[in-house]
Amino acid sequence: MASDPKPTTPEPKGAAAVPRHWLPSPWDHSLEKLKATLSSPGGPCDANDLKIVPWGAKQCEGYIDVPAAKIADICKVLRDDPDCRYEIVMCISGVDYSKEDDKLAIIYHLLSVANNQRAQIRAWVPKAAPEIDTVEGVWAAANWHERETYDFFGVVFRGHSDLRRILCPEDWVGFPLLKDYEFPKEYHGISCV
Amino acid sequence: MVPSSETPARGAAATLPVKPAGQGDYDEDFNLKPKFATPLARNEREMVMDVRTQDMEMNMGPQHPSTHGVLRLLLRVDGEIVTGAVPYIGYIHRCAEKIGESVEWIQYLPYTDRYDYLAAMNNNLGYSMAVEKLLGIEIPERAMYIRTICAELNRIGSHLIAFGTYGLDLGAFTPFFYSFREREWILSLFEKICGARLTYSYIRIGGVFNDSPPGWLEEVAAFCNDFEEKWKEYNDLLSENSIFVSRTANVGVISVEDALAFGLTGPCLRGSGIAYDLRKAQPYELYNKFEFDIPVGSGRKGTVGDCWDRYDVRMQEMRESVKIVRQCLAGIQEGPTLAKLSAALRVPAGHAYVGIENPRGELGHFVISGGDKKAIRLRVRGPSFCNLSILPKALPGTMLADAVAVIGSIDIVLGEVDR
Repeated sequence: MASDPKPTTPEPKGAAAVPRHWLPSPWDHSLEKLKATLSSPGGPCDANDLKIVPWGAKQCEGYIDVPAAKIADICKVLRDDPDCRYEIVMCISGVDYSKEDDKLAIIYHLLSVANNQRAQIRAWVPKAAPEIDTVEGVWAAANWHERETYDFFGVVFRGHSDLRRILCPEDWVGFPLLKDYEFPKEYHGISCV
Repeated sequence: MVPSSETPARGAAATLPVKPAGQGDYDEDFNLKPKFATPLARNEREMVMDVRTQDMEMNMGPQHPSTHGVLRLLLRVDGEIVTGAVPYIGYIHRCAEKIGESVEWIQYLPYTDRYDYLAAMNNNLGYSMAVEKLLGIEIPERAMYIRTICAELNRIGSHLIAFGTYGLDLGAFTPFFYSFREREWILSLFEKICGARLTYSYIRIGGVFNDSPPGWLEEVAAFCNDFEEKWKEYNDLLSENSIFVSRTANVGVISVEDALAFGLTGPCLRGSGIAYDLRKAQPYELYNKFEFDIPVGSGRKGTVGDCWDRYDVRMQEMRESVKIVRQCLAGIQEGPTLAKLSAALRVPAGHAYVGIENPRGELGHFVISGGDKKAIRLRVRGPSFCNLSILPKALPGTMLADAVAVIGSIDIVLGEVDR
C-alpha cells in the first residue's frame, strides 16, 4: 500500500500543539496492563505470544496480537477478569490488508460498561484455510458478527451454532471483501456490469 | 418442530413444569409473566389438554408493515405463543463496506446517509469523526456546535418516528400524525441548512458543509420552545394510555445480562436499567460541556427492561436533546465552519475506531488507511444490526401479537441492519 502518506496538516510542534484526536483516549485500556492480565500466571497465554502493535507514527489506538488458537480462552478472561470486564463485543471485523498477504486479521472491538473502557485484540488466520474458534459462548452477540465475517471473508468459526451467510444471498459465490475477489458478471441472469 | 414420536404415558400426573427460581432463561427478577414464561413441553401439554397439537412455522415479513422494512422473521408458534424465531436479513444489502474500499474518502460520505436513513446527520458525524481522528485535524468550534445541534435535532426526529410507528404497530393511529407534524418542522430546518430532507451529507470531514443561514438558529430556538409543549401532549396521548400500557408493560422483558451479552446499546440497553450513554461515558465533540440526564428504564409500569421502558427511554431522551440544543444555542459563537482540507484527500496510514451515540445505539466506524486516497477497510458497526440479534432470545414465550410490540420497541432501521 506503500505510496507515502502526505498529511494535509503540518506536523504538530510541541505538546501543546498536538490535536486532541491524536492522543490515546482516556478510556482506552492500557495495552501493557492488558498484556499483563492475559499473561499472568494461570492466564490463557504466555507473554511471548502477545505482541503490542502501536499502529501508525502516533498511535491513535493499539492492538494486541493474540494467538488465534487460544482466542476463546482469551476472550473469556477478558470478559470475566475484574480489571477487564468486557461485557460487550462491539464488533468483529475481518481485515484483508493487501492482496499479497497470506494472512487475514480478525479484530475484536470490546467495550466494558462496568469499567468504561475499550480494547482491541487481533488474531491472524491463514488466508488459504481461515479457521478460528468461535467466541459465541463468551458473547452471544458474536453469533451474528461471526456470520458476517464468514459471509465477507470466508473465515470458518469452529463450533459456531449456525454458520451461514447473513447479508449476501445464500447462493452467492465468493467472499466479497477479500482483496482478490472478482466481481461476478451476472447473478441469476441479472447483468452486474 | 416435528411432533415427538414418543407417546406420553397416559397415567402420569399432569403437572405444570415449575422451574426453581434462578434457573431457566430468566432469573427471579426478570421473569416474564409466569403463564407464558415457558411453553409447556410437548408431552406435558398433551397430558394437560388431552389433544395433540402441532407447532406451526410461519413467515412474518419481508413485507409485513410491523417489521419496519424488509425483515423476514421465521416464527414457530404453538397456538398463540411464539416458541422460536429466526430473523432473515440482507434484503437491502448494498455492500456499504465494499463500496467504502472502492471510493475516495470524501466520496463515501453520501453512503453513510443511507444506513440509518432516519438519523443521517448522526451517521455523517460518526464517519467524519473516524476520518478526522486519522487525519488529526482540529474542527472549528462553531462547526462542532452546529454538528451537535443537527445531531440532536435528528435524534428527536428519529425518536419521533419510533414513537409514531410504535403506536401504529399497536393500533394507535393518531400519534403517528402528530409525530410527523413535529418531524416535518425538523426536516424543514434541515432543508434550510443543507438543502436535503433525508440524506444530508451535511456534516463533512473537517466540519460542516456551510454555515447556518441567517435566522436559522432563531428558528431552532422557536422549535425547542414549541416542542416542549408538544412533548407533553404526546406523553398524554400514548405513554399513559391504558391500552398502550397493557400492550407493552411486562412484555418482551430483556434482562441486563442478555442486553450485555447480545451487545445491545442505546435505548435498548438503557431500557434494561443500565445508564450507559456514550455522550456521557466517553464524551466526544462538545458533549462534556452540556448538562443533561440519561433516562433509564425504571419498571414504572411493569418490569425493568420491558417494552414500555424502552419506549419511555426514547420519550425522555427527546427532552434531554432539547436541553442540549438549548445549551448549544446559548454557547455558539461566530467563526469558521470547515477546516481546510485538500480535495484529493490522503489520509495518513493508521486505523481508528470511533463509536458515537446514535439514536439507536453505538454507531461504530472502524477505518484502516494505508496512506492512500482510499481506505483499506471501512467497517461499520450498526446498532440496529446488533439490537436485532436479540430477537431469537426475546421472542420465545411471548404471544404472537406481542412479537410486534417487541420488534417495535427495539426500533430497528433495516437500512442499517443490511448496510
